[in-house]
Amino acid sequence: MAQRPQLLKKCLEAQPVFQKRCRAMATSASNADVTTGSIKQLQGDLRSGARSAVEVAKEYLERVAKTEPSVRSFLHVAEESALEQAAAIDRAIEGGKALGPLAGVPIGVKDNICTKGLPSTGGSRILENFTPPYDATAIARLKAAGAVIIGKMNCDEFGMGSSTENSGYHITANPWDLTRVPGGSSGGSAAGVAAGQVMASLGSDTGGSIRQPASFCGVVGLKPTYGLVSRYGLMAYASSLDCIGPLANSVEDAAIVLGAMAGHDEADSTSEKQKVPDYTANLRPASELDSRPLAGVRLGLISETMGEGVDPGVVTAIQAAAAHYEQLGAVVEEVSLPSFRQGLPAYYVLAPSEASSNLSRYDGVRYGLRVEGDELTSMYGKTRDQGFGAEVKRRILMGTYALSAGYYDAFYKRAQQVRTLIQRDFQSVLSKYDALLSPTVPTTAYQIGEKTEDPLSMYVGDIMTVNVNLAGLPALVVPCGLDQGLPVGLQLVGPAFGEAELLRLGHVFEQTNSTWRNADLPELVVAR
Amino acid sequence: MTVAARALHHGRALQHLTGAGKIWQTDAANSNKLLQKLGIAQHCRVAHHSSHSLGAIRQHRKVSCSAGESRRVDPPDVADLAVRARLEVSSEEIEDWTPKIGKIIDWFGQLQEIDVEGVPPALRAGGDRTGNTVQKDEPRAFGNRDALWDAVPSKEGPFIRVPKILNESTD
Repeated sequence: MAQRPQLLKKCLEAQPVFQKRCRAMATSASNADVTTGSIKQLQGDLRSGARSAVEVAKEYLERVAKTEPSVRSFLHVAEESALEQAAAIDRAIEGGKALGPLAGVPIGVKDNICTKGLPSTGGSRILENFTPPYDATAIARLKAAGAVIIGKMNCDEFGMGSSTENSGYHITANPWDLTRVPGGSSGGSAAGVAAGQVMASLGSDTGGSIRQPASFCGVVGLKPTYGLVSRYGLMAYASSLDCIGPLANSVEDAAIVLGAMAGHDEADSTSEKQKVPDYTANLRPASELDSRPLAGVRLGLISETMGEGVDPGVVTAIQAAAAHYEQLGAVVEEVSLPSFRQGLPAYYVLAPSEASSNLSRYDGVRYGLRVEGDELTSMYGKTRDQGFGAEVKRRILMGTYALSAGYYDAFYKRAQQVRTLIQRDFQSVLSKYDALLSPTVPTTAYQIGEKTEDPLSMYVGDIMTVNVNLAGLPALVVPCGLDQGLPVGLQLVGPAFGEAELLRLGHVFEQTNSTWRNADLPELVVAR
Repeated sequence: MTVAARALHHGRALQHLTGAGKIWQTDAANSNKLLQKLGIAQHCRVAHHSSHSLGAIRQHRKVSCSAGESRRVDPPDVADLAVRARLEVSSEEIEDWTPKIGKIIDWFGQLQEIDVEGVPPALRAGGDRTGNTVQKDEPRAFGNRDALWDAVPSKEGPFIRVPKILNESTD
């Protein structure tokens, strides 16, 4: 399509380090050299000496160089520091030191999560040259576990968007079809895992921003319970909704990443003091499962998510997944959440309201972009006008409106009351069922540019995901099938701090699901 | 409590509970003018007709005030909101965004049909889930102050340099 040469140019401009290598590799790269394997397999290779951490890092960096012209998941590739981190792991192995659960694992980090010494832009031009002076707690914990950070992943600006088209930098493509969106706002994180550029990645989820791209890109995504993973170092969008979570190729890998970063943090006053279990303890390999491994489990399929407005191919895939769960021994019943439909407008009142407050810190005074003005308020105005993209500005304006005197009761307070109703509905249903099932998105990945003209048409795609954020509950997305060649993700919602069981339910499904094959990823052709 | 003071109070409560940043605070004079500009009385109820399907999410709204008369909600004054949000917007942007934002705000109207009588607003993400997550009020020094200082765009000696501050004209 005509857009691609410009997009390609934008990509090459964005990554000067790889320009030479990209141009040199102007031949198609087959998927024969796709990076594969699980975290446990990698750990086994490192311990046995079959591969070194530096070799693994180089493999992934090669893969990034070959595929970035097509996919453009990254905003910054951290080649030098990744190799340093990998070398440190190799020295630890040689020295016989104990290895952390993520030792040598190549990870991508969504660019709204602060990484010390690496540019962190939040997908925004207002932080274009910003390098944080500290690591987010989640990052510090991943590093302590031995992770190797390959780079920072593209995202919608400050997490606002559902397609990564609102990034201030460039558009990321869906590895399954390069003319389609990867989803958002953690589009780069999802595409990076799907394309084998990283083994796992971190995203953030405020209204579905981990789960929706996971569904569009055919990878596993987990939004943890609000308060389980520290938000310290996550650039705030909506503070009562934001969560950091993992995206990975398998449920087990997601569980390992979660375990490395979950748990109370003094620096985050909304971080809960819950004991963190071993999330992998109940994840058995398929060979160890009996014929009905989920006997006794009760699952509720949310009826409001399977009717009009959902693509028939998605409905079919979810029905097949429900049938599969029944074969595994679970009881699956349709259940209604009466307040379900109301979550979307409530979310789009609450999130922009909180965003209008959170984004007031970007004023050009102490860090980030500054556009000088002849007096202070015009400096604010010009800085924010130049630094913020259109969607961010619109949401700030909407939030300002909803919070303004005279409207506060009608919009913000009312949305908070609707939030209570949604929380109560979930609590009531989850007292009868172990988990709820639904599609993640009403559709599969749509074309780049298809929904950018009408913001509302993009918002309605979040209908399946926002209620979970309003209730602060955990949700797991597992790829369950294809609809006309594009991935469909099944969403499982669990009770607060019920990640271990949620992961077990997803793992058993994944290990026994013969309709999904990751190897069917189409060839990712390098720059033409 | 005046309308403006209540908004301030709620704003501070929000800030405390969610750890959010600065809230834009309007003063009483500005908020009354905002009300007048937007042509809307304080307690208007929105009634609409809807179908309960996922597809029919966008609907037209009318606002009916307690006096019984029906009036269309004026579109949001984007220029005025921009001033409050410290955003400079161009006239093209105002023209382009007013209908888009107006459409979204109309869509919010469906929240008005929900019965929220006696329902408390959810102030915490976890609802009734209890947990002592209040941080101790103990200051700690940030270890990497040099890096913080390096990030400042314009400095003069120990000061952060900013343009002069003029009194805003209220209009």
